[in-house]
Amino acid sequence: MRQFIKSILLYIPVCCLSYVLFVCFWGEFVPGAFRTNLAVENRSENTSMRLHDVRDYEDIDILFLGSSRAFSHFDTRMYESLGYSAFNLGTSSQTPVQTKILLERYLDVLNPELIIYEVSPSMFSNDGVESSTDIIANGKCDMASVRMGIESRHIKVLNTLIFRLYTKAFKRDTEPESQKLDYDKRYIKGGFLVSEQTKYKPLKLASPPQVENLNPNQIKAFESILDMISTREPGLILFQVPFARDKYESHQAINPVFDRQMNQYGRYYNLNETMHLVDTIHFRDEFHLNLTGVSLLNDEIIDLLSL
Amino acid sequence: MLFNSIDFAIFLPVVFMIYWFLLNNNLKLQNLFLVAASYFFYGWWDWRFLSLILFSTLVDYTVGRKLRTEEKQVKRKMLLLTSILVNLGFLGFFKYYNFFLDNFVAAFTFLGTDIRASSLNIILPVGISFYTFQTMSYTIDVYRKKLDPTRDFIAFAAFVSFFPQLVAGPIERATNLLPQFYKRRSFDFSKASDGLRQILWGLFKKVVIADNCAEIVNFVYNNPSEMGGSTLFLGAVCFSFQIYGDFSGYSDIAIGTARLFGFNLKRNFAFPYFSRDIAEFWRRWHISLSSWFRDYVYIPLGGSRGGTWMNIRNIFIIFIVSGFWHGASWTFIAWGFINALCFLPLLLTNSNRRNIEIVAKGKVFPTLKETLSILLTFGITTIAWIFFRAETIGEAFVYISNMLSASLFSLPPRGLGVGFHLAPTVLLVAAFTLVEWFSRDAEYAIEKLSIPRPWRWATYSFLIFLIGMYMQTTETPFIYFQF
Repeated sequence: MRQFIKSILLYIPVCCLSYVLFVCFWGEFVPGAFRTNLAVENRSENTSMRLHDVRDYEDIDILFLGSSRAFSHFDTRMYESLGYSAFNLGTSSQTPVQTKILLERYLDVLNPELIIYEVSPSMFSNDGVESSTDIIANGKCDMASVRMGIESRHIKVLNTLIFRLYTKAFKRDTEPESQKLDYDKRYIKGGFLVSEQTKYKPLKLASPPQVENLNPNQIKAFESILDMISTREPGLILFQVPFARDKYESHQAINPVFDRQMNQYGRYYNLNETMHLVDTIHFRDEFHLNLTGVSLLNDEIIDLLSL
Repeated sequence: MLFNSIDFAIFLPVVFMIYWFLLNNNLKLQNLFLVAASYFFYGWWDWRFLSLILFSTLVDYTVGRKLRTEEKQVKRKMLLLTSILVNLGFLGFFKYYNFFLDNFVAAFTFLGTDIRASSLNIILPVGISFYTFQTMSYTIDVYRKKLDPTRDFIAFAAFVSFFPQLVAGPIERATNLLPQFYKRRSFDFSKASDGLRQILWGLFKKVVIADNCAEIVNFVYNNPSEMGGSTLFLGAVCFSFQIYGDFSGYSDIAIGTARLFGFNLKRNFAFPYFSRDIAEFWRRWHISLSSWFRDYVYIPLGGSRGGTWMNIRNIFIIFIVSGFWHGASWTFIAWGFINALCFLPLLLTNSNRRNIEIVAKGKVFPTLKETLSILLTFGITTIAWIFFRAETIGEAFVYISNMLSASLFSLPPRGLGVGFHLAPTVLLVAAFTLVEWFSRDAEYAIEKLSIPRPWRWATYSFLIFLIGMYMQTTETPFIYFQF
């Protein structure tokens, strides 16, 4: 028995070290398609571009926050055409936990007059893994990233953090000079990502609709964001951007609770209830509007806010 | 509690430490502790259903005790019947009530009589098909006087509820497992490390192979009408690997965990996809269930002794009952029936015991004939699995007819069009098959790692890394939990 325990205790550090080495090897030499649970900086991806792009902005009028439903819906060009400087800091599946970290990094410099924050029940029930890996892989590697990686207790985030620490320590800092940025034609300077003009074809759902519960950690992070913003006094407006009808209805049980809660936090619009969009005309999938839908959405917001 | 969960990763070492460090010198306390740990393990899912296990344990223990003293054959039969009725009664109510009700209503409606009955919202207790069969085997063996009834209630309760195999087998025979609870168990280093190795391999099969295949399978089976033949073919093959990785992975973890506590469970899978015919496949797939049906259904029905027709009837009965055991649906019955049909030519030509030894024994590669036989058998089982996985028999036929269309020979769309990790899954399955092939004379793939310790440890670490790199990041329950 003693020998068994001794072997296990000896093996644990060997295993941890080997694991780190394998992750570094995989990140360095294995093609992206074969790195399922590891995100490596990708300069052609919109988060990488956005997090480099943001360094060119300060003292802006409008800051957009949220998930892909923010960066592919809030078209900064429409606000710029009205004379407002704007930046879209949305990232894939961003939840309040990641928004808080991004604001800690950029709020002082961007110093916005108005924050438009895209919220939804799925954002508050999401674990935020996709966004954490995205931000760790493509953004700064600081203590906030390490904290976020460890607190996530998620293998993909941890693998990504291990590789990011390796690139920072031994190889390169993954933030290139801004002039080296290779803007994808879909990425618009200012953070907006042009969505495809395709039309939504509903598929049978892989699993039946589930009632989502709001994650207390996300609520806590969201309340910290509100505290952080209230000390700087920019305006904050919360929007629930339209979902395709079947997706919105799958949140039916949680929607009233969510709307009530958001109304408590400040000025909130649930555009699912006021904009009457058609799934097969205005959407490209159940979460995202196509170009026609995006244009209508921004017109609606501009009207509502009298910009 | 799932084997592939953080809860179990905490539960197992804690139970292991208490079992070996605090209770090592006391067999009774060890057994009592195993009962408590097993009930905790099961209750973690739903504590209310512990009463079913306890009741089943009490009934079979009491029946066993009474069978010991009872000499009159009629009374012995009544006692046996009581045990069977209680166990099958639980199973029938929780698993089959709605199925029979719905089918009776449909049958009467078809005959022109309109009857109204509403289904009940019944939760299927996890593992009920496994532990009821295990405990029934005890009573039947005692009735047949193959086994002395136990006087040790704690040992019997531990036998019924032993947590490594409680919810998805292997279905242990009392003759194998129960006596192990009577003997003092001493810690054996090689047995424990072998157990850990088997747990690791089982986890790899489940978390890497089965769960990655499941992602593709779920997508394909949710939209079969929108898929081309080659995509449907890929979905069907992936399901074959999913169910194998999932179920044999569970069995490996169960057997490995039992070894950590000093127990030997029966082997449940013996590289079934290297079988050369369907009879060999069934000697290598879910061995504990196949042998259960052989010993308690097929042989009592007369087995192969009553002539060809009797034998054919018995084969169809056990395959169909075995299909029905998996679930209350016509698809499972159809799956059993197809397997029986495929078994039939072997039976009629008396060649069902032609392939007993593992294929290409002592050789690196199989012959062309063996390769073709393996591929044909795999193809048959894959087609049969379509019935197992489909929601209805009609859906299975549509799946097969769409699969066997001209588009079978076109390439599936890149990433199946939805961004699955298709390439790593295909590569992992291919590598996994190779590893299994080269270890096919062992109990499980990495059993005989006769290499120096640094290389052995490097292999384990690489497997752990692969689990971390390719595991699905949401907890996915084992398929056989639903049975």
